[in-house]
This record gives sequence, structure tokens and C-alpha cells, in this order.
Amino acid sequence: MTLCEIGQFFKRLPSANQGGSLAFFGCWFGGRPDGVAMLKSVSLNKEILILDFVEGERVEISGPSDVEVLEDALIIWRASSVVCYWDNFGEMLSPASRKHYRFKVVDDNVQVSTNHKHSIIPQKGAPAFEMAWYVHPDFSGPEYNRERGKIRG
Amino acid sequence: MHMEIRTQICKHLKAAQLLVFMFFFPAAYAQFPMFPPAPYELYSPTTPDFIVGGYTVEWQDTTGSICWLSERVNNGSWATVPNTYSPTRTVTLSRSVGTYDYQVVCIDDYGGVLGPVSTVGVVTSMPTLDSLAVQLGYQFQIRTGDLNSDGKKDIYLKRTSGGNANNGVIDKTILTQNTDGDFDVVENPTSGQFSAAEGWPIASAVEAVVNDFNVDGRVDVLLKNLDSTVSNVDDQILFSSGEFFKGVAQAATSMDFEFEKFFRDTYNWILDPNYFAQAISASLPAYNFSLDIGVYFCSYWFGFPTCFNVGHALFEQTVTLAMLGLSGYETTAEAEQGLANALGFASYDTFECVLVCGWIEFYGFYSSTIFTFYDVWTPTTESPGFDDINFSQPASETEPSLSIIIGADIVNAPYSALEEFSGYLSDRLGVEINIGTDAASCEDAPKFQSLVFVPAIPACATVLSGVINTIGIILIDAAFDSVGQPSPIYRVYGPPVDMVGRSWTPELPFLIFDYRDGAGLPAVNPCTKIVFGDLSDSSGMIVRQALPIINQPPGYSVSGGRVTEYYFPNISHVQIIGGRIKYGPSLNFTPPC
Repeated sequence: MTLCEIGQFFKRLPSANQGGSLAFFGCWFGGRPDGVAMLKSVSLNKEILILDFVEGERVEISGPSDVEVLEDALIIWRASSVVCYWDNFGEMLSPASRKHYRFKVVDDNVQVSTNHKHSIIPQKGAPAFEMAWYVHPDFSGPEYNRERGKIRG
Repeated sequence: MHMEIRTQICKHLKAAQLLVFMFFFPAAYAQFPMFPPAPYELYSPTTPDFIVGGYTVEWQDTTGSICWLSERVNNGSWATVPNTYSPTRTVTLSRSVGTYDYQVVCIDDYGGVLGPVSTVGVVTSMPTLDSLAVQLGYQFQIRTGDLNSDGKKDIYLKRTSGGNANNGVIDKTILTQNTDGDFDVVENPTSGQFSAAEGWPIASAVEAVVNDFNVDGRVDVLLKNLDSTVSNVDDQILFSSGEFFKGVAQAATSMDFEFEKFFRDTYNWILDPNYFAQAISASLPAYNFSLDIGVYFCSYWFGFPTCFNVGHALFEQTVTLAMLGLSGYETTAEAEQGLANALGFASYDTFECVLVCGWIEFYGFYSSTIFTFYDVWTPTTESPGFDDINFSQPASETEPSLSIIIGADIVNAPYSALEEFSGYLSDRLGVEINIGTDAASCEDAPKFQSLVFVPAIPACATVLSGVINTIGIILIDAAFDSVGQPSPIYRVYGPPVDMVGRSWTPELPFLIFDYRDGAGLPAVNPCTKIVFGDLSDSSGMIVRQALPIINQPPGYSVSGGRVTEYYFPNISHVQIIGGRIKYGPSLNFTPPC
């Protein structure tokens, strides 16, 4: 599956589903699947898939593969690295001072670095990226749970 | 070793010898007090500064002392001028070209004293001084560099054409920048310093404006636009020394506000002897009028009104009594009373109070909005107009703003600010806002009459529903949407948690004790923003108690949230456009978490 084909998955989503709660390697962005990032644009830069969201977040996924689109979410199971940037809402920061989480897959492990005061712990075996437009109330807590081919709840 | 012992023995022997001498000859020691008397009052000799040919030196001496005149040539050794011993007090001398220093030397029983020095420059001819009209054509060059390696740019000013180099007009001078951003003249620059300064880059953006600013007959130099090359400094005026053979500047003065004002007033006075009288009556007192308009949201839930500021706007305008044709006041208090009289108020305080009392309250079912007005009138003595020094034109031509200020109307000044604000609100909210009051006091200007808000669009809620992050959207709904009252719901968030989200609460967060615990907000939610929403459709919404947070942040461990949560599993219910929540204002606030 080429990078361009993966980008097409995002663009073919129904407009109502072009956004959702984001997760990286088993970590919900914002602590739980509460905030909703609406997709603004999808672009490609060499081997990197770039997702820009309405409230300023940017997700850069390098070497994405193994994509799954379910009724509740779009999932990218594997990637060599994922970077998520965000600003203080209403306060655009310089590229150097933007907050970020950087995930990098080294062997079977996922290394994470951040300049945000709240660090996160990636889960082994969790998908590299998820954008969930539907989250069942029973799964709205901080715990991440995703099984291949199955809708949560 | 032996030498040290010998030295010590000698010291002790000398001390013993002195004590024995004082014991046997006390009277002799009484004639020589332990401390010398006060020094002589000697003055510098009177000499010409520069002379061609012979000259006379005069001086004073001290009664009871023997005095004479001492001389040195070109900073050489001092020597006695023959035939100048007391009681002589004047001598005529003829010397070759050079620099001659003179001082009075006196001696008596207490010893000798040297007086201050005077200097004569013997020259072959005296430099000529051009007329002021010719001096105005002198050319100067400005260079900047760091003379003393303190990291601050210094200035080198050099006359490149015009006049005799020794005519008392600045010829070459170096100024070092001090820590205050002012400049000090280097009094006696060395040839090495001049040579170094000659190598600095030319500051072509700095303009050398030549004029006789201190009216001493010699032109001075204004370094205009100096901050284009030397950052964070005022323009400088470098005054010529006015002394022949002294080509360095006498002083440098910053062109700060007070200095400009002095020159502007002096210049206007030269043009018109009645300037000061007219200026006082025309421009004093002037005021900086500042109007702060606040917008407050108040909730009456649970019967306890809770208000918080949701925004404010500040307007400022300079007004003068001249705008009313008022003049002749000698004090600010008199002027304020005159101002109040002119506007029909009993006193200035009353006039001020009418504006302060100019507030209005919107009542909603759950809440209300209050607009407050706080005005500040700051007297200022700033003269009107005059931005630039241009002595070739009358002030009235150089400063058009003067006529603009005089042509304004003070009566409308405060209300023009209100009108500006009302226009802003009208554009944003789609309502017509009328402003006006005939009140003469606080009592006569009750709320609701100071300002009148009239909805221009009956179904303005339709217009407003698409507006995001506009102050008062929910409240305007409440006030003007005749369809029904809103059902406000709230969401507390902050980066990285998005404004758009699944979790909302109908409970006003400000009334919830420990909102983080109550709403189950994880630690990563900074809880610095709140957004209001209007629940337009509850289908698909789940009502529950907020989920607990377990040890996030540490210490939080509850069995369940205390806050009622409206949870929307599907994002289509919470999107800004096409969703089931109409988003209201998003506000920064002190976290209740």
C-alpha cells in the first residue's frame, strides 16, 4: 500500500467522520478520548503522511502501513515514527517552541520524547495511530483498548 | 638578617630620641602644631585665552606670605617668572607661539601652596568666525563605532567643510555612550582615538542638522534619526564650545520630550511674543481621556450571583479645553469646573460619575450581562502639535495636528468612544445600539437609560448561531431570541485537549468545588479555558456522572465524578458546524480545578 493510497483513506471518509479523538501507540491524546480533532487537510511529503487539524494540531506519520478503517475509527497499525505537534489554542507558537510528542520505533520498542510537562507511556503492540470518531461510553476512560477488526463496545 | 635587626634598632632609637626632645623642649614643639593651618585662598591668574603678541598676567597673593608667578611652556617644567615676587601682582610678557600655563605660588612659616592654573595660547593669528548664515552651510560627517569596547556604539562627528577649524565650532569630536543611553564628550581625545574613529563606518542614515540652537553665535549640530544607527537612543544636539582652538563639542544633550518642548515653545515665542499667553489659554489643561468598557457575565444559578469578566475594551483620546473654546484657567481644578459648567454638570465629579455610572444589564433566565464603563481623565501639560524641528517654517505649518486638535469637539469626545464601541458590538452581534443620555447626575442617569440596546434583527439567534468565540453569543440569545431561552452547557479544556469534545456539563464549573475531581478531568487537561454551548438536540446524548480519575494527577482517586456529564459518543453531535451544540464564547479563566 503506497503512501498516496493511505492518504486516500482519509479523504474518502464521510465528512462527519473526518476527525475524532487521536491516539498514538496506545496513548489517548489529551488523556482520554474526549477532545475531538477535526481533520483540516491531508498531505504527503516524501515518506511522511501529514495530517493537519482544525484546532492546530499536526500529526506526521513516517512509513505508515497496515491501515484499517472500521465503523468507529481509522487505524494505522504500523509506522516507523509518529510526531504530534500542537499550539496553545489561540496562541500560535514558533515551530521550535510548539509542543510535541515524538514516537520512534526502535526494534520492537517505542521510544517517546516530548517537551510537554505530561509525558506518556506507549503500549507495546498498540496501533501507531488512531482517529476515533465514535467512542462508546464504556471506553471513554483513559485506558486504551483496540483489537484488530473489532469495534469498541 | 643582620640588616633587618639593625633597621629595627634604628627605628626604636629614633622614637626614643623624639620623646626625650619633646620632654626637655616642650615650648619649641608648641610653636609647631600637630596639624597645618587651613590652606591659602589662591585664585587662578587672569590671562587671555588666546593672544597674538604680548599679554598681561594679573594675580592676587596672600597677606603675610611671599608669592610669585610660576610658568610652564607646552606642559613642560614649572619655572618662576622673573620679577614677580610679592608685592608684585601683574606682569606683561611676550612669548613665542605655544601654550603657557600660569599659577601663583605662595610660601610662609607653614610651607608652600600652589594656586589653580590659567592657560594662554600664543598664536600667530586669530581664527575668523563666519557669519551665522555662512556657518549654516557647514558640512559634517557622522561615524559610529565602539571607542571603549563597552559594547555600546559611540559617535564621531567631523566637520568636512566650512570655516576655520579653530573657530570654536565643532571640528572633530568623539562622544561615548554611557549606560543611560546619553553621550559624554571625550574632552581631550588622543590622536590615536581620532585615528580609530576615522576608520568607523559612516552613519549615512543619521542626518546632521546644523543650527545655532543655543543662540551663542556658533552653529551646533543635531544628530537626527540617530536611532537608525545607534539603537535605543534619543537624537542628540552637540553644542559647539564657542572657544577658539577648541574643536570638540562642549556638551551633548538628548533630544527627549522635555527638551523638544522647550525648543518648540521658545521657537514659537520668538515667532510670536504672545505665544505663551495664548498657549496656556489654548492648550492647558489638556486631558488624556481613557475609557475602559468591561463586559461581565453573571449567573444566578442556585440563587448566588457569580460574575466574571469576559472582556473589555479600552479607548483613549486626547482632548483640550480649547476644543470648547474655554480658556483662562490657571489651575486644573478651575479648568475641570469650567469643563463641567460647559457640559451642564454641577461639578467635574458629577460629570465624571455619569460616565462611570453608564452601565447596562441584560437579564436572562439563568444569567445576565453587565457592561461597565470606567473613565479616567489625566491632565497633561503636553503642548499641542510639533513633531519635528524645522526652523525654516512657522510652527503652524509644520504641525497640522495642531489645527486638527483645535478643530475637534470635546462634547462628542467621550461619546465618540462609546459610539466606536457600539459600532464594534453592532457589527459582531447584529444588533443596533443607541447611545445617549440627558442626565446631569448619577441619580438622573439610572441604568438602562444611559445606553439603549435595541435588537435590529428579530431572529438574531439564527444569525448568531454560526458565530464562534464571540463574547455574549449565548447571552444575546437569551436577551433577544424570542424563540426560547438557551440551555447552556459547559466544557472545560485547554491544550492539548480540544475545544470541540464529547464531554459537557450543564453545571456551571465555577460553582463546583474542585472541578477537576468533580468532572474527572485528567492531569493533562490544563483546565485553562471554558466554552459555553447551547444544547440544541439531545438525541444520542448520554447523561451520566462524570468518570472518575484515578491518580491523575497523583492524589486523585474518587469512586465517581460529582458532576453531571453530557457525553456524546459520536463526533457528529459536537462538531461546530452541523452539530447539536451551538458553540458560544471560549474564555480564558482561572481554573476551578
